[in-house]
Amino acid sequence: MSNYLVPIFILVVLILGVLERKNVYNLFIEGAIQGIKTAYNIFPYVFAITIISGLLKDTKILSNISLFGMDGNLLPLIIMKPLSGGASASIIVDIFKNFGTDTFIGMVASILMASTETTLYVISIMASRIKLKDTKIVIICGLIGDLTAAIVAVIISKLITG
Amino acid sequence: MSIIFSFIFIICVIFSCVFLSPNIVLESITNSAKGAIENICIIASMLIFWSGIFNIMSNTKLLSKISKKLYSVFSFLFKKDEVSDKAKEYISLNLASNIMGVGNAATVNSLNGIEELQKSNKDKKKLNKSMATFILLNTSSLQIIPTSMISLRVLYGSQNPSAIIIPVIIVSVISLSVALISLNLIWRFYE
Repeated sequence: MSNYLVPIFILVVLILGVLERKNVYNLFIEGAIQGIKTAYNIFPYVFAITIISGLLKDTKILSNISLFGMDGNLLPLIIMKPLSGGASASIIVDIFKNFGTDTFIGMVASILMASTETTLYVISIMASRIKLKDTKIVIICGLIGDLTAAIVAVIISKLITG
Repeated sequence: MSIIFSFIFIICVIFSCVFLSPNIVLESITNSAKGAIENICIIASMLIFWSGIFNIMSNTKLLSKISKKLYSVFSFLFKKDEVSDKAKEYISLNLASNIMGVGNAATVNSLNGIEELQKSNKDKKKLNKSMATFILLNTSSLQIIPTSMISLRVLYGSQNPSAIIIPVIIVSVISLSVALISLNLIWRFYE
């Protein structure tokens, strides 16, 4: 069902555009030009974040830390997820291969990955659009949210897997 | 952000020079730089497409009316005098595409939305509360059915791949609420 949503949405936009006698092609081009500008502007931010999350991954620095007796495999995920979707996906795959999907660690990882976003990445891209330097307050609140997600995910997974 | 960036960078370089080999630093940067270019190509292609589609949409009368109606569902989160009509349209489109899980469409509208909010912002160097709320909504996962995670679980042989749906909704709601509550608590010191 949800597979149809996107094609239908595109269809409705195009048909209404034609019905209201708009120049659909020109509007699309206009929008696309805006899109190119957007992509150009966010590129350095995407680049910077990819570099530091790559370093975090390749030096394997995170798997050497074990904080509060937490499993060494979950901490990298909790730290990586706010930075990069790609790098955290590769951590998830490692966890699934080594521990399975339905174990305690597998559950925490699945829930955490699906219930949080790439917080720092999103903030830096949105702030780049309005050339805002002072992002402290949203970074703090966003990371508080991510930390809460980690704690709740651990509790719920404990309850489910017993 | 600057603190986070320099902290991670410095720690990683020191760590690999001391405990691993110094070659890893350059190797890793080379690889990620290549990856970053690939990433931006993927992001850019969909961004350009959706920008085109949404430009048609915001120029058709009926659809922009519908999206303004949709906004009333979320209006309790924002301050009235900080949100223009154009911004309402982008905000509702952004939240709707986030909920349906169309990430690229959500990105386009998050950027357009924050730009519109900035236009009616009094102090351009500071976020107003509606802008901060809008950013926080985007940093939390609103997607109702985590389709990509479920298919990844299927791929790695899960017995019950969709068991995560309800926990994910609970965790998302709690973490978003905590983020928004902490924004309200800290806001006084920011202003």
